Amino acid sequence: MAVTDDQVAALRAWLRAGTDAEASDAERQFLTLSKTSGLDEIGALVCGAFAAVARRRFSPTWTSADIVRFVAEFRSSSAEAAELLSPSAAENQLRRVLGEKQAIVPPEEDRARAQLLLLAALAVTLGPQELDQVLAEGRTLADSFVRDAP
Amino acid sequence: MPVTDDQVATLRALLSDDMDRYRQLFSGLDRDEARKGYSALVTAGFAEAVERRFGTGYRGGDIVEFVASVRSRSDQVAAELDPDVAERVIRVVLEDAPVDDLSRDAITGAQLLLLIGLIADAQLDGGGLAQFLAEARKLADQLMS
Amino acid sequence: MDELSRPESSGQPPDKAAPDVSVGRRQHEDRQLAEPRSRQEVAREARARPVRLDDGPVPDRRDTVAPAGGRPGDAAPPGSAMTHFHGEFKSQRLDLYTDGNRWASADSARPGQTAAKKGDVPVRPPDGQELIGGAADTNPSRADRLRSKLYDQSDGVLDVLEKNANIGQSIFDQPPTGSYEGSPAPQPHIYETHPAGIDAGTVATAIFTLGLVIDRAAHRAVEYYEKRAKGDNHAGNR
Repeated sequence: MAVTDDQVAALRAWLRAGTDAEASDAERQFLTLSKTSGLDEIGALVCGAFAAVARRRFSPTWTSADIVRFVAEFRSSSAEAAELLSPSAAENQLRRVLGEKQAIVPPEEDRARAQLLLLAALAVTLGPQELDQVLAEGRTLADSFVRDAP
Repeated sequence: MPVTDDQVATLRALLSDDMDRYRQLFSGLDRDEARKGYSALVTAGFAEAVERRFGTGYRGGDIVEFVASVRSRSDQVAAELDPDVAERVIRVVLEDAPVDDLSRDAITGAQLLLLIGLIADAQLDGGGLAQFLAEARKLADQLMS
Repeated sequence: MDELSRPESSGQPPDKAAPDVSVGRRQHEDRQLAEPRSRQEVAREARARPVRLDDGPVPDRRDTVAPAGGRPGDAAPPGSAMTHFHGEFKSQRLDLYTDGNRWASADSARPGQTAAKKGDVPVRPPDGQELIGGAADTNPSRADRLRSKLYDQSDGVLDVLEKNANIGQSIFDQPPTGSYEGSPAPQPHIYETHPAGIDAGTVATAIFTLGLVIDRAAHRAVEYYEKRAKGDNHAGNR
């Protein structure tokens, strides 16, 4: 099943939430989707959007130090960030979506956290049109994944 | 048996970035004594350096940033020094942290790499390094007692 | 300036507010789930009790996530502001609890931290001493702690130290002050960005995404980062 407009809208709402009210609204959108079995592809959408925004930021080339510094920049910005985001999972996921094979696959929860939090962190500097482009690219990647999945 | 002068000289050579002398001294250490004394000296030096660097007024972000600064200095260090392990061993010194799930090798390796980073940042002169190692030696003797 | 000169200190360890939580490793504790309520009951309670942030101490996650001693449908104890979301997802029963701070939070109260409402986000992020508590009940001495947790005198320790000494040489090659005396540092490997696709090894199931979205700490973390990133931009630090 392909990614839906509602799923993209919910993710955009969460990424752009600037107030508690907006964050609550985004949460409600997600919960509504979960109650109607509309959340199935959200993991693929988050992963796709994360890959798209990471490639936008770390192109055309990158170094290990770039990855290390960016993850540390986010994690050092608050106690919440440091606690929520595993640094090794974050670096692993960034390297992976940038095209470097990784021998280790972090636990699923760590991957999910890394993708969503880093997507949000990378998106803070995007304008509305750029964010739409990232979400559109992410949707395309997610649809390919869902279509090709066994 | 307390830490020996040879063990202190070995660590001093390493922390002075005198690798030729370090290798010469390290290869000449008595292995049985060194695995107790030299490793105690490394742990003690690490703890001493962490306390001096971070004190009691640190933020958690300071630890994150320092570990990243060490890991970003070379691809090899980034690959070898796990950031989670590194942050935790620093926190063991400053405020305690769980390490039961970490391998001994990872804990030991992280201490040495971070110690080198701390000393590299400090840019101590000869007298400063000697004084630092004297303090570390006292603590190392306690660890072995 | 000698960064390793001993600072003035009281010698007291920082206060530890948070419980023992491993960084980067989320423990999946056994949870005693409440009996499911109807969606109407959940929705009614959620509307009646909006999630409040930092409304008193956060319960220890090792307790049952359901209100202690509560019956299904009971209101949460006063002051806890716990909101319960129940649903089904891929035949899995989904019971999520949040007090507005965390989803199935493990955090205890963070001293001095106020609700992170927009406009109320502190310019300085919460004190990092709250990151990891790990306070031992017995508060062992410094030497005891170092001895039990960091000191290794096993047979292989010298090999580990030798290997890491060789790796650590490169740290001296690239001091942070920008001084490049001595041998030139090895150049970092430069990777080209490849348009790789996403795969099953990367994609995580939606339940984790949902949990993180509901977790207000995640939203706050991004807020703090955004504030800092934009503050740096204004200061021309980039």
